[in-house]
Amino acid sequence: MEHVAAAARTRPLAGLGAGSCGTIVRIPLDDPGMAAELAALRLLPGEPVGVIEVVPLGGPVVVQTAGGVYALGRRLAARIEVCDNP
Amino acid sequence: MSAVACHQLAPYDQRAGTTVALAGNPNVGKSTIFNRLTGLEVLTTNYPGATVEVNAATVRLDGQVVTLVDLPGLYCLTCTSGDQCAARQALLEWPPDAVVAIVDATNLMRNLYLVLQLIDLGFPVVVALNLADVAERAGIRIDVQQLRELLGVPVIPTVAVRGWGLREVLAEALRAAGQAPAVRHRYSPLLEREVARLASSLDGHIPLSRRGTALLLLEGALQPENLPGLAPQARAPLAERTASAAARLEAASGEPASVAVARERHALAERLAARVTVSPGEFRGRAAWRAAIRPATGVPLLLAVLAVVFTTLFWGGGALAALVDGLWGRLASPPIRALVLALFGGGVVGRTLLWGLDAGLNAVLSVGIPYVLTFYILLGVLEDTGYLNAAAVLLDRLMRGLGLSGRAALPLVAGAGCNVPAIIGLRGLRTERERLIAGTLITMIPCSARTAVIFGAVAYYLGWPWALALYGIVTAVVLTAGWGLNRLIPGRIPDLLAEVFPFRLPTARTVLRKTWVRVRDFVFVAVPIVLWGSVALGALYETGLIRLAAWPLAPLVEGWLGLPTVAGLTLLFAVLRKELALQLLVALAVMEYGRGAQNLRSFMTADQIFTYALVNTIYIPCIATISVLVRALGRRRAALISLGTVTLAVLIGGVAARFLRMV
Repeated sequence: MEHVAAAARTRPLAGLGAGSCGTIVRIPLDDPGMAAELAALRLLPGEPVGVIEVVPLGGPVVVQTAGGVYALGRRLAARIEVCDNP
Repeated sequence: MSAVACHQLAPYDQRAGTTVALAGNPNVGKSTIFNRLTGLEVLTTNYPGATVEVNAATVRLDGQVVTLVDLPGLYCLTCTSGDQCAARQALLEWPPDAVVAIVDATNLMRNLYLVLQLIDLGFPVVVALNLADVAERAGIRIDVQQLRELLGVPVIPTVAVRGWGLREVLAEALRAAGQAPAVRHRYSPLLEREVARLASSLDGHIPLSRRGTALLLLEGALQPENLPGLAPQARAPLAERTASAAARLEAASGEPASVAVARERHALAERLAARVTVSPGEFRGRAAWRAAIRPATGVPLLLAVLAVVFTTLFWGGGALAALVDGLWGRLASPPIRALVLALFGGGVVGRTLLWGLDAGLNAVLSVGIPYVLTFYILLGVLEDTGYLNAAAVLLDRLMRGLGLSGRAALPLVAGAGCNVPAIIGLRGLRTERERLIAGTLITMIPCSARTAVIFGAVAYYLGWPWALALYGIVTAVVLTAGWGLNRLIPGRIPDLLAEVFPFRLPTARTVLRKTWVRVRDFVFVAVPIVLWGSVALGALYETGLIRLAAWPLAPLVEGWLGLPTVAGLTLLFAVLRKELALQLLVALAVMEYGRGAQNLRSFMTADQIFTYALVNTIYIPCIATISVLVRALGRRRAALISLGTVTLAVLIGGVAARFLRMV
């Protein structure tokens, strides 16, 4: 039950609407190059992230982090997990 | 676009004097600084070396020879695309004597990440704190002296577009060259312990600092098999040691080593930035790009931008073309004709020379330059405002339908200027599949030379609705080709990960300089080819051999496409340069029907002019494009793409000719 409750609190970044905020919990690590670039852009677990814009029809998700403003393809945004800010 | 500098390059392996690399995040002004500095006094002008496509040029500063290396934009030294790998290779395999780290003063914290990575690697670093004026306007104030002390390297505020501080940066880089900086920062004891352990086990002739190399290995930005200077038999043991160090770090920190290192470096960058930022200011200007990336406002804006480009080309280019043609007819043509006829007489030789010196030059000036010049000014403005970046975000969804990510939108748009730099720009894409699809589509994008043909022939003689229709057909062909390739070629579409920049006001100086470099190139390369092409066609015409030369093409050109056979011959010549086809055709019309706006209409019907421009737009790119395509994608693929586009052009041209005859 506890595991289910923990899973329910996290959701994909792509699931957040424009104007909402969250904290990154997990980034995809299967592609080391992409992981290194996400890390360099400060898209890291523990970092707060705000969604500025979700381009409709499967377009990119535009987010603000402490490092800057980035456009993430919808599939990549779906693979980054966030939890709601307390 | 690096196209500005692409013809000012020294082969990377022929560096001279002291080597200074320019490194920095994308859009911080690296290429502006490179062009400003190399514009001082360029000693060598060459095409890039075949080994590494990193721009380099040799300049002289106060009597000292310096090779400047312009690296592609980087956030860190990883390798996810061709240009990043080339940049990493340029830094690690042939370490420069000094690195100028160009930093965006309006986003100091994020930009310091790369600076710290460069200092960790032991490079003599000089920080150029660029966009100092933009930061000041936004109220951001940075204590430069303190940043210098904290980093232990020189820091110089610069305004690249005005050239402020650039000479000082270069002079500091020369002073720092060859001296490893004293690294003043340290990460957590846990990380430093693992780094020290791994560093002490590094042997061989590694050209970089051991601490920096160990950090690079731990953060996964470099694999032991790619470490320059390492003996092959030492790779496997080093991989093992790296893996166990990473495992220990992960066990102690609770997260993967790559994440742990990145987190510590960001934390350090944040502490440094907080200490030196006197006033954080407020950076505005993001509302405009939000409007540009939202489909509801972004699509109308994109259409408006395209409409402005189209109307400026139509009216501006057309007016310039008519003006140049009129001036040539009144001022240049009579003395040239008189001189040639006086020297060579009115025989075959004299008349052949007139093809080149009168009709050929007239065609270059009135068909080529006006549209190319207008287009490059517009492209320069679009590039410098940062609009193309916002368009890439807006177009990501459409691009995915073609098997591409939004990143590919930039080379595709660049292809509308010139296919050559656009194909060189493919190295910024992440996968081979994306490079192949984008490369194929770029060859079908009407470059400025083809734009000159479309506007110089179709819009000029038939009106703008015809030109719009032609663009419509080409767009449909490109979209269909992308859709088909995406289904044919196995593999997945890469994810978009791109920074979104606020718009900036372009400066007239940089736009005009870019335009000048591009147009100068166009003139110097095009004029001799057009001259010789016109003379060759003239010789065939004046000797009557033209019928013999055009005869093998007759079934295809006359039979299928419904064009005069001679026009087919000019299409063959156009492989040298695309706009040459129309220039030769105009030269032909001038010689047959005399100068004037209606000369091409006397030679060909409206349907024929349209079909001719359509075939010329779609078929095989020019020889320069084919040669970079061979380098980017290999011989076989370049040949397949070329053959494919010829077939497509002939098919579509024939269908269009029949359709036009029906309506």
